[in-house]
Amino acid sequence: MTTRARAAPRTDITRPVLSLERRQALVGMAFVFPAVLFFALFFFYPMAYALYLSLTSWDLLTPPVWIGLANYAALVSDPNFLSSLSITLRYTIEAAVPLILLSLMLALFLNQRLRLNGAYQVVYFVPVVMPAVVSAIIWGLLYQPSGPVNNLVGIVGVEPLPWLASADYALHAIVIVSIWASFGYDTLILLAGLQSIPPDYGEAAVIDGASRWRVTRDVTLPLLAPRLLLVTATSVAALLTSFVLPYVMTNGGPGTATRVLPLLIYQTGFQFLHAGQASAMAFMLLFITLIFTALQFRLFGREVL
Amino acid sequence: MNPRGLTSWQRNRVDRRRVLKAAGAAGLVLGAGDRLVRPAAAQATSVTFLRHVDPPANKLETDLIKQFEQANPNIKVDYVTVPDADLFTKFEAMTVAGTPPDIVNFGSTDVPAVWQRGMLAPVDLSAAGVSSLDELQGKYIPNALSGYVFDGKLYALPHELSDYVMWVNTQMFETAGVDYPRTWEELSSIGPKLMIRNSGQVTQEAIALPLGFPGAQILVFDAMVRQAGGQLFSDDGRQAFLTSDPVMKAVTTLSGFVQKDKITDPALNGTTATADRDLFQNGVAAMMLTGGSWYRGTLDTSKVGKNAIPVPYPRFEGGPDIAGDLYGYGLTVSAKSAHQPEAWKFVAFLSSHGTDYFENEGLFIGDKATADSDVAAKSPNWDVFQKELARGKYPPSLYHFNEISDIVGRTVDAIVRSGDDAKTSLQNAQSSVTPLLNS
Repeated sequence: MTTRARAAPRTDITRPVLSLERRQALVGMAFVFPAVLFFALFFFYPMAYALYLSLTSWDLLTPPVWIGLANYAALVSDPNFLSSLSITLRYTIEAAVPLILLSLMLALFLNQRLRLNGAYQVVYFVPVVMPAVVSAIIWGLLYQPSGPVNNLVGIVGVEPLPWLASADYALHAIVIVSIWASFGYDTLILLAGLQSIPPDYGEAAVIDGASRWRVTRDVTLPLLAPRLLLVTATSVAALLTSFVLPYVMTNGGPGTATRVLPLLIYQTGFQFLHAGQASAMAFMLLFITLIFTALQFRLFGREVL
Repeated sequence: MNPRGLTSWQRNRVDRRRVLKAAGAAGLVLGAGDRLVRPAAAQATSVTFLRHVDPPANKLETDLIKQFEQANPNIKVDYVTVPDADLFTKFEAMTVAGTPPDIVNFGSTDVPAVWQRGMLAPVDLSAAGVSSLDELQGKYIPNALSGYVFDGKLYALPHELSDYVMWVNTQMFETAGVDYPRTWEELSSIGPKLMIRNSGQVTQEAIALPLGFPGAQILVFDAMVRQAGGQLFSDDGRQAFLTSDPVMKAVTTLSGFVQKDKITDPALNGTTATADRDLFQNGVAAMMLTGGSWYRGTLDTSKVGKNAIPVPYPRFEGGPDIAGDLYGYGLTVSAKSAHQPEAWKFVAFLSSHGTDYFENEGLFIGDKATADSDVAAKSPNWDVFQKELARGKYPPSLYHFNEISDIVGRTVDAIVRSGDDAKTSLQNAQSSVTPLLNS
């Protein structure tokens, strides 16, 4: 009886309206809400609005006029768009491949716990913290006919090159700056990845008679694949959408030799007053970036995720 | 229940009423007081004036605005300055935001695009103190207003009127023992004497060309084409003649300076759009083609200083006597402005201070009063500008000027710098430009 009496429900304690799980979920949502709101307001809403604009003819000064898919259809035969797309792809491939290889080599080198390792890390990271505009201006000076770059190539007997003045060299000149500006960040990511790999795996392989190259190829690189995917995906996306260096260093010239797609989008929207067409170009660029990213995921395999 | 039988909510309501009444009374008192103290300010009309950064002119205008506001206490001028390259973007942003500026000093080549969209109000002739457009034109030098006339109505008052002349470094010419060229052919032949190379690298070039700067390139190029007896575009902007012989002659002349005569080194231009001016100012180039009367002030504080003098643009041998294209800025008033009379009153006030602009900065606004003034007479080489201005004209009013000039400028750039085939490149440009012409 006593037990029963004790077990009787207490009527003076009100039961919480929500279960513990629900309350925890609400708290979590409250924490996440500011970030969601931020992304919704400053990313998703503008993207959705840009998608709408891409279906209109809008000059920024008078109200948009709905034209459906006409902007997208026009891009297929637009020589400026096709030229800029081709330049963008060339620029991305020319920069991405050496960028990732260089970053990987440097990360492997720095992973050997050398003396002055900290100093090396500072040196290679400096370009990353330098604003892109500053880098562009400095490199513009370095590329002058009598500048340090020509002096350097002159040591090996090469005549001074018109780095930014010739359509043959200008894109390569910007590629060099892109690699210089980005490899420090990529190296850092890869180095962190290398340092997170337990040394036991390599040591075990060495005991089994594997050479250093074999350890790197068959042990280190597969374990580094998730970081390599991250570096590749972010680098390619950044290169596809690169704007500052071509804008400041050449403004797309000589002629249209370095007019990458983001620069054409800016010009089309703000200088030529075709904001609808520019939005369509931007979505095409987004689509291309997504294709590249998907290809990289496929290349690295699903197991890295 | 309280003694009066009111609930707490009712009590609060009464309190709120009291507060509201008190606030209303305070507002009335303050409002009345404000009217008593500053009767005019309470009814002041505010007009926004958007213009590009130009330190000497900005300083002058800040003073002029103070004077204007003192003389017109019911008008307040909100002065907004942005870098020249950002002015149109700022205008777009303000327009999209629903707060378009009342007054804008648009570049003369931007005005057609804005006018075509019905965004400009015609000039209030009475504010300008005249009764007809003819009377107003009589106050300006010939052609000064023509770039702003559409369908017989004027839509801007000139805020700057320039044409490019050729600036030469007299010291370099003396050292080389040559006189400045009167024709493009002469320029080509004397150019090599002005070139200095050190260990194979150019340390002094005969002429710095505008490269990577389509807006300036098209003005230089358009003038050369007209000097060659042709036109880039018809006067109504409906046709382009980019594959014509005069266009070919002009582009061949320019590319010849780089590819054949080697009297200029495009690599020296570096990354900045106005590199030709920098090269001239820094004593690297003996000649330069993109400076107007406003350039004097910049030169005076540069390395070149007084060694720089303006001379007429070269012509083609046997060709017509045509100077550089006219260009400049026009003061416009928005068609959407709720304060057009006040805006035009202010614009007319600024326009009546042409001599001050000229004296402060060498900025000529196109009025005869300044052109014939003592200040102008005392200005060095004013006669050169005056004669050239009389022989120049605005490029055709193209509604898509920026896009067209970008296509033409980049085409010329590629031919001049990279040696692209002129005929093919110009044919491609003609195809690209055709859909953008006025219709």
